Amino acid sequence: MPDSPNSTTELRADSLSFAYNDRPIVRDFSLSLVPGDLTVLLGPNGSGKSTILQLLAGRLIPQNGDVLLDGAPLRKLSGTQRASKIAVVPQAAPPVFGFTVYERVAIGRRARLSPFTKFTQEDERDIQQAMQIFDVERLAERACNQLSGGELQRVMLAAALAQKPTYLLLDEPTSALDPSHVVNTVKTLRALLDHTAILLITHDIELAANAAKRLVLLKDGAVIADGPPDATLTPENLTTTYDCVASMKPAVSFF
Amino acid sequence: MRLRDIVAILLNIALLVLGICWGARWYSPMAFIHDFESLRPLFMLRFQRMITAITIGGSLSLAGLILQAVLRNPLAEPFTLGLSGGASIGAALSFVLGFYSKWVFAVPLGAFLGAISTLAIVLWISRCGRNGTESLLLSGVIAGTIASNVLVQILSFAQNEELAGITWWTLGDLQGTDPRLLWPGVVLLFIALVLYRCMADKIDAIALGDAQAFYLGGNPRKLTVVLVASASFLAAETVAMAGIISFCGLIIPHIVRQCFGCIHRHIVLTTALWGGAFLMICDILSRCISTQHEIPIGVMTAVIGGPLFLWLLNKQHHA
Amino acid sequence: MNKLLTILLLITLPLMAQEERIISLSPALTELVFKLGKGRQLIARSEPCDYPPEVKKLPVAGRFADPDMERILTLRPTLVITNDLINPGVRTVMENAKIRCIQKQCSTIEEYVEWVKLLGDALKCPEAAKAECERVEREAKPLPKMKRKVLWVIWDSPLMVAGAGSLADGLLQRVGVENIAGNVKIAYFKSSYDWLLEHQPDAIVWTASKRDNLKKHRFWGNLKAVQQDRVVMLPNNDLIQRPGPRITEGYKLLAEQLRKP
Repeated sequence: MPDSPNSTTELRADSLSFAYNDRPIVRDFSLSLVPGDLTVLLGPNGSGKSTILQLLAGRLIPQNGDVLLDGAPLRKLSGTQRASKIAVVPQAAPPVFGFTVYERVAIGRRARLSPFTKFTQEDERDIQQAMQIFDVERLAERACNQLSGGELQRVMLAAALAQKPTYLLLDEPTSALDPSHVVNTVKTLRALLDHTAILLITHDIELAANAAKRLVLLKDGAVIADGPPDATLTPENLTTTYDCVASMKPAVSFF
Repeated sequence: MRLRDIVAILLNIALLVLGICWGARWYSPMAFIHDFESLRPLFMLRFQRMITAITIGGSLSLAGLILQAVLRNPLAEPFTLGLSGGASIGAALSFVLGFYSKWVFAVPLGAFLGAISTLAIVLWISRCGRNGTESLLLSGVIAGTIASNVLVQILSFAQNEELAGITWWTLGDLQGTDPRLLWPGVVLLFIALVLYRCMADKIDAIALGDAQAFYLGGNPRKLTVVLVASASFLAAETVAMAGIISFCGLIIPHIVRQCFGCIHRHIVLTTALWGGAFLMICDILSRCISTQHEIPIGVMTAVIGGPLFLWLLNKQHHA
Repeated sequence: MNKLLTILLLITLPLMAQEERIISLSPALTELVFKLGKGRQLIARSEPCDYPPEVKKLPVAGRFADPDMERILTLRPTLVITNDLINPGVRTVMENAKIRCIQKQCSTIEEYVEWVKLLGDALKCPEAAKAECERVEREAKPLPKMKRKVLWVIWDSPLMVAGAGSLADGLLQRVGVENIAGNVKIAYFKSSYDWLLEHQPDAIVWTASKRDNLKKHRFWGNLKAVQQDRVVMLPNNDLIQRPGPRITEGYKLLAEQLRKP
């Protein structure tokens, strides 16, 4: 939801370039995310997907181009402003300390609040809902560092959801999930779209084909193809992207 | 304020009263009320000693809590970043160079400066954590190792008497703390409590990792530097007050997290209170088991804290 | 036959006459060697050895109880005397190099007297040793007991005091006063301000660093002994802290100060 009627609701990347020590990772990349978008970034290892996500989240500063959050340069915004609009699920790493699942999800919520405010009923409800949606409610009192990889990923998704973001950036959030939870996650993400924009990084082409409204194929930091999945997921495009021959044989699908 | 904090405060007050009444000779609280004037020196002595214990116990536990969270290492303790080594060098230098006999504050100041300069060097080498907390932790451990070796070199210049003095100093001593050092310590602990309570949510976030801290709206580098520097400053300041007291800053945060969870806004105050209570218990026992011959406080914290910690750890694994 | 005997005698004589080359690793033992008149046989000393003054011209062969083995081997001593060794393993090194090593505790007057006898035999001067023993027993003879409790402070932060078994305790006993910490069977231990407020000493011997204005100190100022100026600080603590021949001088000074009415 826009803060004021005249401000735009858009996370926008304008011709971003980024290089580590003169080694270009991202070249002239542009993207716009508005609520309703579910954009999937697909590409081989090292194609710059995670870098793009970190640029969009403001963790990396591009050498060229700019990221605009609702019209304002992202790097000039305060942490709280940033965190109340963008939530990120990075690749999972188990926490060192024994935060319980409930606490971990609640930490996501706190990012929006000032240090001394207590949770309102609405906050509590959103937290419970987020846990319910990602099927971790029954784990609420378990310690995060004792969860399986899949459970932890769902907890992190729930935490990002509890943050109530307008822009949700996900880096391989389903890599450790079983098929039924993958399907469930895609459903959930789709249900969020009326007030959220989602960017999803994955290696799962089947997931990409079924979840994406828009799909960007990346190789060496440059865009190979961009558009709806039907138009972009052609054998030619995939062969160029992954440097190995692709065919579109139908396999077992849960979607 | 939560019920458990009220309980902890009451426990602290009870221990404070116990520590004032119990000593070489037991005086009931009534005795102090009826005949305060003649008992004033004794009262002041015991009162100040107890306040020292609360302050140092609280500061060390708080510093341990923060450093464990920032460095994301359950083995971190207040002196992890080489502070004890640096403090010992500072203290040893003021012994060996003879400042000790010229000025009462020479050893505390030397220890404090030693600890702070080690911290500065560690922060500088690890480029304020720009290369990640692992490099910060590693720089600290290595600085500590180098410092202990330099200490051995300094000790080799020391005469017998100085050598004994340094050894005794490292065991920690609560009764010798000068009131002129104690009150700044109390103020500092209060400032730290307020600071950490305000930053509690950010501390939660940074305990999840630099990336998470950033995505939850923090600036991980700034947070790391502010938290590491302030916690180490607290630790350095306890060294100036009473020498190196080990164990307290390691186990109290663990015990508190075990009992009350990891959310820092809930446990900052609790940790400080429990740390104070723990060190008071240790101090009361160290001087009351045998009233004339004190057990060094460092020995006491290890003897009581060690088994308690192992017991809790065991309980956790069985649960 | 006679010729053979003469040759044997000629060979053995210089051997028999050969004097010990001594290295002392303890200031007290260094003083003792000089006291026995064998000072010129001392070829090296430990770092803290500083009395008599001429000893400072000798090379240094280690720190207190911590010999520098390389120096010692190049100096070719025949006898190393020490009251302690930080690393007992060096004894083997010395044995292999055919260096005799006498190691024996020397921390009380009684132990000093035993050392005198031991060195008298080892350096072949039993008369001098006997004279020294008699001198110590005569000049530091136990004085009649008087009711006066004395606290001996060896370090003030943390507060370390001398208990039973220390040189300080032995000195106080000979002077005829009671060591207030003598009931604790530990030579040096950490004591408590609290206990001292309850059990006030009549006088204090202070061998820690000199402190001005003890009277203004938040703890020491509360003790009657401090308020009444009954704190003994000697200009030279070696006299009462070094179990050597000069201990009798220390004894004399202490007796004067502590037995004052």
